[in-house]
Amino acid sequence: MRSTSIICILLFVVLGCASSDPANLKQEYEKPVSKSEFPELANQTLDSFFDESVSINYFFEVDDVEESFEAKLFFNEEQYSIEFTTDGEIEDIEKIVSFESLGYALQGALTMFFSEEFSTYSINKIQVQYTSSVADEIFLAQVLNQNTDTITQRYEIEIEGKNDQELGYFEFLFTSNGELLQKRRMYKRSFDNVW
Amino acid sequence: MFGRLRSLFSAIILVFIFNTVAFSQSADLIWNPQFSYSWKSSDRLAYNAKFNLFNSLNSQTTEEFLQFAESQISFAYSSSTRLKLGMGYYYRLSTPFLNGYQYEHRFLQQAGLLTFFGDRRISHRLRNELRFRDSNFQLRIRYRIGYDFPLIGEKLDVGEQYLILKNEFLGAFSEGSASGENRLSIGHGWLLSRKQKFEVGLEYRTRSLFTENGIRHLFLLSTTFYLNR
Repeated sequence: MRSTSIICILLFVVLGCASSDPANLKQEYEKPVSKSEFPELANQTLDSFFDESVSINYFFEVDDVEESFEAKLFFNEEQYSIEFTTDGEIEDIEKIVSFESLGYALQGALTMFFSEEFSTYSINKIQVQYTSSVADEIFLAQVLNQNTDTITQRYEIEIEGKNDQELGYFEFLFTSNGELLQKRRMYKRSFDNVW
Repeated sequence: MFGRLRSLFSAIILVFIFNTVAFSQSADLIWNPQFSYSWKSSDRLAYNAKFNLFNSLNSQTTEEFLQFAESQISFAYSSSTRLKLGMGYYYRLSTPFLNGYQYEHRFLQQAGLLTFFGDRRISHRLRNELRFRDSNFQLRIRYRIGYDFPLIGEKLDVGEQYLILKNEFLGAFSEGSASGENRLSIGHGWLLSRKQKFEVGLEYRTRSLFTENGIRHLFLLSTTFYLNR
């Protein structure tokens, strides 16, 4: 018993110091809220586009230190996330898309990038992210009507992958040309209670 | 959805309490406090140290209250984001406050597979244990399936609660004898921070399966604090 305790303490000291959160860890927190807790301006925007037949889930979100509100909904068989500032103005609109729906040039650029980055990988989720400086109603109408040629588009891609140094879940942000803007490691719950 | 789950959990607790009362004359009742500390030295290598006690709630004397004290150290190698392989060592002291206490050295090898559905997880664990006790040697093979999920929303965020369901079957083999055991459990967890969680679990063990002596029942209430770096 005594020798086991000594071994445990030594391992705590030697190996316990070796790990800490990576600096690029995605720090996102999401909490469901009611419609009444949503910013009034955001509710007005949503109400002008979606009637009661569209089911909307409302969330309060903190990404690093930035607070926002998010409405998630299905519309015309597409899954949208509309992110609002705390004042109720649209920050961006995201839509889940498949890899096959991306243009061939972008597909090629992403395949080349991920093949160089990882020895094996799988794509878990792709969202096209729209941002615009036009008025919220015009912006939302453009996205819902698929009239997005004049809108800035980025691609947020969640990857599960490994290489010699890294193993885990990552989120990448690309321009529409496939240029990398950001790479963040995603938080996954510890295995310790199921292992 | 949350209300229904809460009702389900309450119903299971009621069934557990009913069974506990009904079987209390013949069943063992255990309170199992645990402390688990995990850390990583790289993306692939993780370590865990665990300490737990088995306290008998139907013991007659103070000396009998502590049935087992266990310390465990193990490591795991992740060959992918879903598959882990590991080894570990346990030391168990049985009835330490009674004369004639017993010890056990246990070596284990295990493989775990995790599947995600959003933030819902299904886990499989296959474990092989070599138990060297002062009285005999025993080989155990264990298979456990688990499912855990957030009680509210799609993601489990800090401050939120989750449920975890597990069932484990194990076969035990020693010279001239073999038996089986089933462990069914439900746990309610709180994600206190990204590095800390607390879990309360209820476990029903059906012991001495396939033996001539007949099945024994054990009810275990676990309280576990998890800390990871």
